[in-house]
Amino acid sequence: MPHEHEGLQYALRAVLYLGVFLLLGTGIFVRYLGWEVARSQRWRVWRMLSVGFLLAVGASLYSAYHTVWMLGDVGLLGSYLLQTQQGNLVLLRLLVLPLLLLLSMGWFRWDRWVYPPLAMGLLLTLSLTAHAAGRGVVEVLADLLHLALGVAWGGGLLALAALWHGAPSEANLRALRRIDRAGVGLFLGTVLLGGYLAAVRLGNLDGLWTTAYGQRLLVKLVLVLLILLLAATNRFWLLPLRGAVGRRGAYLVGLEAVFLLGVLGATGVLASTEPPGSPQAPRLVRIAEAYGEHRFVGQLFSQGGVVHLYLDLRDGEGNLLPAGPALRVGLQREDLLYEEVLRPYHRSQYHLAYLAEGSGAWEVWLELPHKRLEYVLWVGR
Amino acid sequence: MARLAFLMVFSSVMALAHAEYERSVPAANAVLREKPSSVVVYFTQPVEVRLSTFGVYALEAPREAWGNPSRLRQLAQPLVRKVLASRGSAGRRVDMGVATTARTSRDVILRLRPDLEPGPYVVVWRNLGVDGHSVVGFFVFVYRS
Repeated sequence: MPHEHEGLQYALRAVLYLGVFLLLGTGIFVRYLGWEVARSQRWRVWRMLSVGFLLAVGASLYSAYHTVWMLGDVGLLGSYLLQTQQGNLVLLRLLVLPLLLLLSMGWFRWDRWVYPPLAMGLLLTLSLTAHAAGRGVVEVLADLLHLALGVAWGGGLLALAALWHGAPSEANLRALRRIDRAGVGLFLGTVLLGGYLAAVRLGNLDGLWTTAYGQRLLVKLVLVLLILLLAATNRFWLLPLRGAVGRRGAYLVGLEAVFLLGVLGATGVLASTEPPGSPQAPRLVRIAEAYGEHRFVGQLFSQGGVVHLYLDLRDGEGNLLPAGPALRVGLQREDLLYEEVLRPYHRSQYHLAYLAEGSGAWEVWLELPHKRLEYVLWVGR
Repeated sequence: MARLAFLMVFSSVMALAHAEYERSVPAANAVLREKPSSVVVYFTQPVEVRLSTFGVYALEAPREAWGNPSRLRQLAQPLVRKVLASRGSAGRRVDMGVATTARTSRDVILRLRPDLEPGPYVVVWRNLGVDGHSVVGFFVFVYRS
């Protein structure tokens, strides 16, 4: 079933990720990556932490409301929060968020032991309410680590970009060096785990361009590649230029942060897009059927939830005929049935585009003048 | 026919995302000679049992349609829409509620009333998967004494 209010779901998830990245990323930056920068701009740090906290709390609460609204009764909000696993995880998140806000500035001596497990707990509430939730322990762990490494690297970068102006150049340079040193491992880990998650969710490589999930993942990959390019520029060009790091640094780090926001947006969309799963039937079928001295040739395939049939009737030399017969075509999955009489749109060329309402295996049949062809086609979104 | 059988076989092992229908007892489109005492629906992922809606409803259909699953599914669609719009209070309900006690589960058991009469029945749900997505579905079975 297509999701209701998909746009709102994408936005809520993206805002949730942005809030968590701001809160945890700034916290990690203050503690481990750029304490000199943070010390010189305490109020700005506090503002960033507060914005991250408010975004995460707001998105969590509104997502809970939206879920029960989709179920048809907003009066179920209390039951959702108290009686479901997801609701309990949202409550846990709402409990952990203020604690993390309080501990992010490093005001307390003992908090270094409390902050990391609390941060992992917060990220676990994200993994357990997303696609990984129903797919076993390995996928949850992979998702959690993917998030943790991404937050440590990307969140730190966001914080540096936001705090760059007004901080001493030397402090910025030192923070950039630390992010750069830690970045290789963090970035590589994030990408490898992301690759693993993409592989299990897509099923096969074809899914990357034939499904909506894959196409959205491609957008995220392009943004990640752009970040990688900028990170390489920082490492091999900016960092050796000690004196010129101020203006150029602000520009490059800021640009990286902008692409990172794009990645977070794409992640929000992906988290609300149904992964296609492993196809149990082909997504593309080639058709080649002799018809007397002529030949039907073409392709039947699905792309982004749309079934396409391209078919030509050609003579022995491969030329189109002046006209072609009407052909009956049908598609069925469970109770969904669609039938159409297909006529040539040009000479003896046919085309059908059908928006399939359900993902999965569709039975497709095509009645040629002399025989009936039957196929099973996998349609993913 | 062979093609359809193939479709039915592998549709039960499809690795779909979200909590989609996987299989059930009685199976979808089954014709039963013995009165069933319960319905079990298996999903591809665990569902939040307490916030999901499940129900079994008597379907009014002419006797000649009982052997035609496609026709029964078509006849069931208005009832399904009505049931989901009213959160389960429309239609002649023949189940006694969900017997599954776990908060999240891949299989959901519905106990049926003991006075079940011969006829077609529709099992309807709007589930809430543990991944936060809601999926609507239904299937039909016939009890023919």
